[in-house]
This record gives sequence, C-alpha cells and structure tokens, in this order.
Amino acid sequence: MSNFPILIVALPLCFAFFISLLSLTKLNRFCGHLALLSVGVSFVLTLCLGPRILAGEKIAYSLGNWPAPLGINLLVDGLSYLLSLIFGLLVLLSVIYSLEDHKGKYFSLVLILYAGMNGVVFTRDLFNLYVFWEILSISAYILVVSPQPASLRASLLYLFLGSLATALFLLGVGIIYALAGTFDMDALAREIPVIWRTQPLAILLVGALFLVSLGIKSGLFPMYVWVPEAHSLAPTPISVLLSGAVLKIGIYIFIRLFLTLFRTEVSLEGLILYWGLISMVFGGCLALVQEDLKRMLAYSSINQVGLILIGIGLGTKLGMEGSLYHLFNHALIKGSLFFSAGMIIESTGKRRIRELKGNGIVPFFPRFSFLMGALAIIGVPPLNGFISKWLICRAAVERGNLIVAALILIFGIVAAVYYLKVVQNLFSVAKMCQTEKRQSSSIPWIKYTCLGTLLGGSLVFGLLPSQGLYLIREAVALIFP
Amino acid sequence: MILEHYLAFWLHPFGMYIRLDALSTIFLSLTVILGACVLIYSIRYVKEDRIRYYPLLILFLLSLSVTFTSADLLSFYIFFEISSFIAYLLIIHSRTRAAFRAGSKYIIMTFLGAASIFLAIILIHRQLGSYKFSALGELEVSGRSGLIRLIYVLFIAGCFIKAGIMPLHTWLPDAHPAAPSPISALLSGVTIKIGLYGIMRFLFSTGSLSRLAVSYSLIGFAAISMLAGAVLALLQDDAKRLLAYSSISQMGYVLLGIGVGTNLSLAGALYHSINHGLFKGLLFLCAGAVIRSTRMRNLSDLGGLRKRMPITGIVCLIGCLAISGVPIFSGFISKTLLSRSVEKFFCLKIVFLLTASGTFASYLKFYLFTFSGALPQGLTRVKEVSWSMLLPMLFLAGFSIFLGLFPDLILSKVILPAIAEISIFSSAVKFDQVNPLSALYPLILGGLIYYLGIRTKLFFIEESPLWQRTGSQFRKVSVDRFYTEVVAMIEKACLLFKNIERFSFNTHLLFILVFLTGLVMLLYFTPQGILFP
Amino acid sequence: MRRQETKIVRNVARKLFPVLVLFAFYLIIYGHISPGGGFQGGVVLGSSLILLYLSEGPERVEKKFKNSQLAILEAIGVLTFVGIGFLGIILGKHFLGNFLPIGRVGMVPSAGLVLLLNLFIGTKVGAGISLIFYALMKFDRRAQGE
Repeated sequence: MSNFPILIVALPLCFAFFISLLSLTKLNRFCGHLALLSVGVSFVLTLCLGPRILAGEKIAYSLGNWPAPLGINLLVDGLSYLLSLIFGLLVLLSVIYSLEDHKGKYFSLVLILYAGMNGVVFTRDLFNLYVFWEILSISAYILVVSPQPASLRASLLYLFLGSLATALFLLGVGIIYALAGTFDMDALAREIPVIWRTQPLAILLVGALFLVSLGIKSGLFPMYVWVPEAHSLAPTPISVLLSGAVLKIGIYIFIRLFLTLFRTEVSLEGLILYWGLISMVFGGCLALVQEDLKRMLAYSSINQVGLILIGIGLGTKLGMEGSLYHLFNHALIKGSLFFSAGMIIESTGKRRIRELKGNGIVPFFPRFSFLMGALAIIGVPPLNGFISKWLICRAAVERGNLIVAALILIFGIVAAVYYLKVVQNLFSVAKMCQTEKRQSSSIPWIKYTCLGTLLGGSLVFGLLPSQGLYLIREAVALIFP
Repeated sequence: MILEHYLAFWLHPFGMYIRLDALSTIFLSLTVILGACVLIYSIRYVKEDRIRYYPLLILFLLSLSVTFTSADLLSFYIFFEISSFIAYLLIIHSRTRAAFRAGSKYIIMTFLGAASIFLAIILIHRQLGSYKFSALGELEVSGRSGLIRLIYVLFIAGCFIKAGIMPLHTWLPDAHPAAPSPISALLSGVTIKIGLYGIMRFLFSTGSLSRLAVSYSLIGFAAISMLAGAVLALLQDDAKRLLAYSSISQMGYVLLGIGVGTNLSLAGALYHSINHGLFKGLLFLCAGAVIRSTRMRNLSDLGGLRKRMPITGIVCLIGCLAISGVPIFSGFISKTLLSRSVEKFFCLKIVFLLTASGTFASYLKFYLFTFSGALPQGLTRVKEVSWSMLLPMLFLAGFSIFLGLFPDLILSKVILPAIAEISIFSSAVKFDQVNPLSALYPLILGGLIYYLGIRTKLFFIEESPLWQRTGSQFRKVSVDRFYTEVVAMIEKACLLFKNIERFSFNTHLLFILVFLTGLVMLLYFTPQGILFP
Repeated sequence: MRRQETKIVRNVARKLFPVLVLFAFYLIIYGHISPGGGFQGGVVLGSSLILLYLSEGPERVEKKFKNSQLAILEAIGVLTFVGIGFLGIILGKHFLGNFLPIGRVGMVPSAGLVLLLNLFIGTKVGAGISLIFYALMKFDRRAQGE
C-alpha cells in the first residue's frame, strides 16, 4: 500500500517503453492490450487508495527514502486524488476506444501522458512538477497529430504555445529557487511569506509568470488559440484527453500553487473571477458561430473552464465545491460529447454541423449520447452539469455577485443554442439509401462501452450529488479547512 | 388532506419534497385526465417514430405531475425544466424545418424563463435558507425591498414566459402548430398552466398580492394578453395558430383572476384553468382530427366537413360554445365568476366584453370555416376519424358540459378547498344570482365582428387590401420580430468576433505578451488586491 | 544527394570518434564525483554519432548503427532504469532506494545505485539524441527530394 503512489506513476512509464520495444517486433498488435492492462492496474491502484484518502488521510512517499527537503516527495491528498481519478478514468476509456484504430507507439505515448499527469498531481517538488508537466505536454503535442495533414500544423501551434508556457513556468521556478533555495512545496510554503516581506516584486513577477503559463495551458481567453486547433484535429480519444484532463492540469496547478501554497497577501480572487468570466463569455460567443463540430466542442471547453475559474475566483467554500465538482463533471460530459462526436464524424465522414443534416446513417446511440451530453452541459436538471452549475451560481449569489450568476445562466442558454443546433441536425429526417445504412453498423461495441460509462457516470452524479460531493470533500477541505 | 413525502433517494443532500394539497390536486387531475385522453388519441394519430413518442409522452406527463405536486421551489424548478425539455423533444417530433424553428424558439424562451426563475430561487434561498413553499411567508420581511422586488420580477417574468403572457408569448403561436396535435392539446391544456400555477403558489405564499404594484401589473399584463390574444386569433388562417392565440387570451383571463386576488376572482381563475384545459384540449384534438383526415390546416382551404365528419363537428361545436362562454357550457361559469369579481372596474369590464366578443367571433370563424359551407373539390373523399380518436374528444366534450351544469358542486368540492389552501381570506363563493342573458352582449357583438370581418375580408391577410397597405406597419410593432432581430444582432456580433480566429500566430503571441505585461503591472500596482473587496 | 565531405574532414572525424565515445563514458562513469553525469555524457555520445553521420554520409552510418537498434537501446535504457527502481521496492526499500554497497567516497565504484543509473541514462540519452538527429535528417532529405 505504501508504494502505491510511485507505482501509479511508474507502472505506465515502464510499460510505455516496453510497448515501444514491443512495437518493433511482430507482437505489434498486442500493444493496445498491454497498455490497457497497465492503465487498468494503475487505475485500480488509484481506486485502492480511495478509502484512505476519502477518510481524510494523506499518503506521502519519498523517492529513494530521501526525506523532504533533499529528495523528491510524492503526496496523495484529496485534490490530487480527485484529479488522478479523472485522469485514470479518461485514459482508460481512451485506450479502450482506440484499441481498434491505433497501434504501437501511440499507446506508449498515451501511457507517458498518463504517467506525466499522475506525476504532476502527486509530486510535492516544484521542479519535478515542471518535469512531469513537460513530459505530459510533449506526448500530448505528438498525440495531436492524426492522419489529417492539417493536424501537423495544429500540433506545431500547440508545441510553440505549450513550450512558451512551460518556459515561462520554468523561469518562475528558477526565480523561486534563487530566492528560497528549495523546490519542496512545504518548505516553500514557509519561505514565501518571509520573502514576500523583503522582495514582493519578485514574488509578483513569479505569480504573473505562473498565471500566464497556466492560462496558456488551460486555454483561457487571450491565449486560447491552440485549443480549437488541437482539439478539433486530434484523434477522438486524444480530444477527450485534452479537453477532459490536460486542460484541467492548468487549473490543478493553479489551485495547488496559489491557493494552498502561495497564500500571500495578494488576493487573486478578483482577477481569477473576471478572467474566468471573460473566458466564459468569449468561449460561449465563439462556439455559437462555429461550423465545425469538434471546434464548437473545443470552444465550449473554453467556456466551461471559464466557469470553473469563476467558481474558484469567488473565493468561498461553496464556490470551490461547485468548481471542483464542475471540473469532475466536465471531464465526464466532455468525454462523452467528444466520443460521440468522434463516432458521428467516423460514421458520416462529415464534420461540418450543417452537413450533418439529414444523415440517417449515424447510429442511434451516439446521437442519443450527444443529446444527453448536451443536456448535461447546458445544465438540465437530472444530469450532473446542473448540480455544479447550481452550486457555482449559489456561491456567486451568496457572495453578492448577482450579475455573475445571471451571466452563468445566460451562457447556459447560449450553450443550449449551439448544442441544440447540432442535435436538431442529427435528428432531422433521414434520407438514407440502403447501401449507406449497411455501412453504419461498423462501429464496434467496445466503443459504445466508453460512451455508456461516461453517460452512466453523468447520470449517477446528477441524481446522487451526495456521492460526488463526498469525492470532492477532502479536496475542498484542503483549501478551506 | 395534505400528503407530504421526502424523496430521499434523489438529490440527497439538497432535499426534495413532494406534497399534494387541494391546489395541486386540481392541476394534477387536469394533467391526468387530459393525459389519458391524449394517450388514447395518439394511438391512431401518431404514426411515425412511436418508439420515441410514447416514452417521451409518458415522461412528459410524469414530469408535469411532479411539477404540480412539488413542495419546494427546487423540485418545482427541476421538473419545470425537465418537462420543458421533454416538451421540446415532442414539439420537434415531426422533424421538419418548421418544427425545428418553432422548437428552437420555444426552448430558448423557456430556458430563459427557467433561468430567471432559477435566479429568483437562488436569491430566495439566500434570503431564507430554505427552498420550501411554506417558508416563503417570511420573504417580505427578510431583506432590502429592492432585492425582494427583484425576486418578484424574476420569478413572475419566468412564469410569464411559460404561461405565454404577452409580450413574452412569442414561442406559443409557433410551437403549437408545429407540434403534433395531441401534444398541442397538452401544451395548451396543461403545460402553460405551470406558469400560472407557479405565480399562484408564489404570490399567495409570499403574500405579495398586498402590494398594489404587483396586483396592478398582473392585471395590466392580463388585460393586454386578453385583448391582443383575441384580436390576433381573429386574424389567423392556420387553425392551430388560431387556437394558440386564443390560448394566450384565455391565460389572460386566469392571470386577471389571480391579479385581482379576491376569493371570487381566484375561484374564477381556477375554474377557468380547469375549463380551459378541457375545452382547449378538445379543440386541439378536433383540429388534429381535421388535419389528420384532410391533411390541410388552413381554414380558407377547408369547409363543409359537417357532413363528412359529423361527430367531430358536434364535439367541436361544443368546444367552441364552451370557450365562447355560452350558458350551460363550462366557459360561461368561469367567465361570469371573473367578470363579477371585476365589476367595480369599468375599464376591465370593457376589456372583458371586447375579449369575449373577439373570442366568440374567432371561434365562429374556426367552426364555420371548417364545418359549414361548400365542400371543396379535394375533400370529397374525407372520412370520419376512428373511434379511438373520437372517444377522448367525446369524453372531453361531456366533461365540459358537466362542468357547466354543476358549478356549485365543483366550486364547493374542488375549488374552495384549494382557495382555502392559499388564500388568507375565507369566504364562501357561490354561483348564484346570475342572469344568463348577460352572456348575450358578447355573443351579439362577436357575431357582428364576424360579419364585418367576412364582409371586409379583414380575416384574410393575403386578400384584404387594407392589410396589404398597413401590414408592414403592423409587423414593425410585432414583439416577435423584435426578439428575432435581437437574436440576429447577437449572432452578427459573434460573427464579427469570430474574425479573431483569422489573426496570425504573431498577433496571438503579442496578445500573450501584452497580457503578461499587463498582469505584472496590475499585480504591481494593486498589491492588496483591490480588484475584490 | 549530399556530396561527400573532403578526405580531411572524414579522416579527422573517424579518428575523433573513439575519443569522443571514451570521453562520453568518462563523463557518465565519473558523473557522481565530478562534473558530468548521465545526461551530459549521453549528449556527447549522441554527438559523436552525429559527427560520424555528417562526415561519412547517411548510408554508411545508418547501416552500422541501425535506427531500430538505437530505438531498442533507448527503450532498454529507460526500462532498466525503472526496473532498478522497482528492484529497490522488491528488495524492501523505497522506489530507487539504494541496495548496493556505498563504497568509499571519491572512488569510481561508489555511491551505490548512482553509477548504474547514470550508465543507463547515458545510453538512453545517447540513443535518443541520435534518433532525433536521424529523424531530422530524414525530414530534411525528404524535403530536398520533393
């Protein structure tokens, strides 16, 4: 049990290179299954940690048995557990989804991505966090490339902006090291208030650098540009991972660094609130006029990330609860939306919203799950999106910010407009011929299980919000004890 | 007797209460009766996509029932939203372009209304710490008057959208014709009453009708809806559109009864909601039967169906007489109750007279254009619809007559307990000292209007020279057009905004740089975080 | 095709290659007691191959040091590294916990695991650098061919 944190990170890493060895041999076709096995084991290990974490325990692990300020430490607490759970689920489903379509190196990259994600959320060492972040980003850059030629461009764009972000982050980390002489987060939490008194400017600079780099990585307003490109052109399972997991890492690091460590005198709440608001408005407005299905989903992601930030920026316990719950919900919902969009695009070969009209060849289940996902993200009651939106709205109202609450609700309606436009096209009267109909049944059932899991999840966490709140309780307790 | 139950399995930490009292019972039984009729009617009416239609219909009825029986604002809102969305799916059931357009308009407006109600609910929760209807009594004294006023405006505006009160009605005349006829019957008979039910619950729980502003504004909107709905109904050529506009006008009656707020008017309002549910359901089913067997829906194309569809003709006549307020039919009772409650206000009496005559004229048009006159060439082979469609219609017609024959029974057994539930005054309401001849004035005036309308061809927008000259001016004042233009403007603004996508990579890098610099400056100059108090 | 380099360049490069490899392994092996280490040594290892590639031309070098071999070497480097980490767990210590004798300070076989780890990191980085270079050159050749 005590070794679980490192096993969760190291197993996928180990298997990743084993798979890249295997892909050179004739056993190439088993790469996917091996990846599935390792992600499954890692996910089960994460689940095993669950009871202890949710009981309020924190599990620490030091690499090579070097104590805190010297060595690298891992720590699993409520927040990192929540994130790790999301990552495990999404990566597992993505691997299942891509079993048929991909082989070889792809899986090894997905595993590296997974290891990097878990590493980022577990580590207590600032530089190590940067390293894991870089690892996951690099594999994400490569994974964005799909057979479509335009995706290479998208990947390059992502690479440029992403490496700009990590470079800025590294700069910030360097400044911090120069000031504090340590990378360990617990030591930094003690050091930074001391430094703040003598050199506030340096800390502010670090804060600004971190904020910009996190903003780029989680696709906030002025630096969102890679989001629509990468999300829309990546293979379907990678879009799911980008939107559900990779965007969330920026938010995680923000919460970790700014809310649990660098609690300095500067109150960032207002900044975060308005930043999130602008992102939400911007994402919603642009999603309204998109013509490409996956691009629209990408802009919707920007919108939702803005909403999550609003919840954080409200600076109350309720807001944080809503925000983390929405983070979890958004991963489920966007996962199911991207999966069903991928299936729709696969079976029709068309990705413009207008061209989807009158296509009888889309199988029922993707259409249905797209509808359900749309409902969840709009915030229609029995589904989970409603609960989190409601919590955030309540937090906003209790903070006295009526306009924010009204804007959140209005952008829910805007989301209704752009999602229902797609739904209407999907459900419009079919004019199919027999040949087309026969083609349509080619989606293997195993892909439906991914959709089914996510849909079931969003229904369960909508009907039983107590379960979801139980999951995030420890994470919230970390920030608002 | 009041039944209350806590649904523990659902939305657990937030609570969810189901409560059945006399007021809920009225609307619940209306839902159940009309729902049963619609289910039977649909067997023959709906031919395509039954696998989607029936589950949705049953879910729809279920969510409507729970909306009416919810004991707290939260579950009211939740089922309000669920039923709205299922109604959307049912409206777009035919999946034609027109249905999609109507459905979009419906869902956007309803969601707007729902959002407004939701905001009000959150504000109420912030004030009171509870969602229950029974806690609402303290709302008046719980905070600043401006905030309380905002809550009222938000909640009532949301309900207005749902109830189709002018000027927030524009989804209604589009959605009703687009939906399958049984669904239109449910929409008009039950769904739009959710809005009024919400207003009733809310206003009487908070006791805010003692504010004159609330009362007068309700009466004002009600009068506008009554008059404008009746006038617009007169001008329609599409049978179901006519019925839809007439629904707006009838909702005005109910809202007026709520706004006046005496026991008498409240009795009239409740009575009228029941009546309207039944006879408007009946009329929509009749229109559906006609559409089903002729495949036409424009009144000017129809005619002479009395011989071909005798039973439909008779039940339709009953429905038309009932809604026009002819004695011995149900509409007469409720309209008389309502008009007696506003006896003191001269203006409202005029409005009543005009609306009633307009309604009569429009239903004369509806009935005569469809069932009398010469049979057009194409309709010689039309047959009566099947019994499974006729039976619900006959049942509803019989019920309408029953409600007209025994007003005192209904008043004492059904309506008064409900009023006792919500109103603070308790006084008996009796239906007596009524001169049936008082119904004659609107009938005569209505006949006159119909005659004039036919003679001057004002009923037909396409043919009348007067309309061709003035029509464009009239359309300028249409609220629907105004809303559409607002939406188009928003979309145009977003398209303008979309140009940001075309910026080069360098420009985006510049943005990032500017943002970084700005952030450093911001943090430097506001180290204490003045962005937020 | 790329023209052949002059004889001088080729000869110097050929003579320099073993020295560079030796230097690389020096950096790797003395990593824990003097400046250097797995990453630095690996880069020198990779650049020695790059030098050979530039002077001898792609065909001969890629025949001697095959792409697939380098890929295997790279994967084995990492796998062994992680494997040693797991061995630490198996032997009752932490991940990457030291299970070898520490030895005397300043001597080459000392500091427990660090020497081994440096060795495998060096292999991995050397192979990786060469692979990246191969890929870039292939890209370049394809671009010229078009």
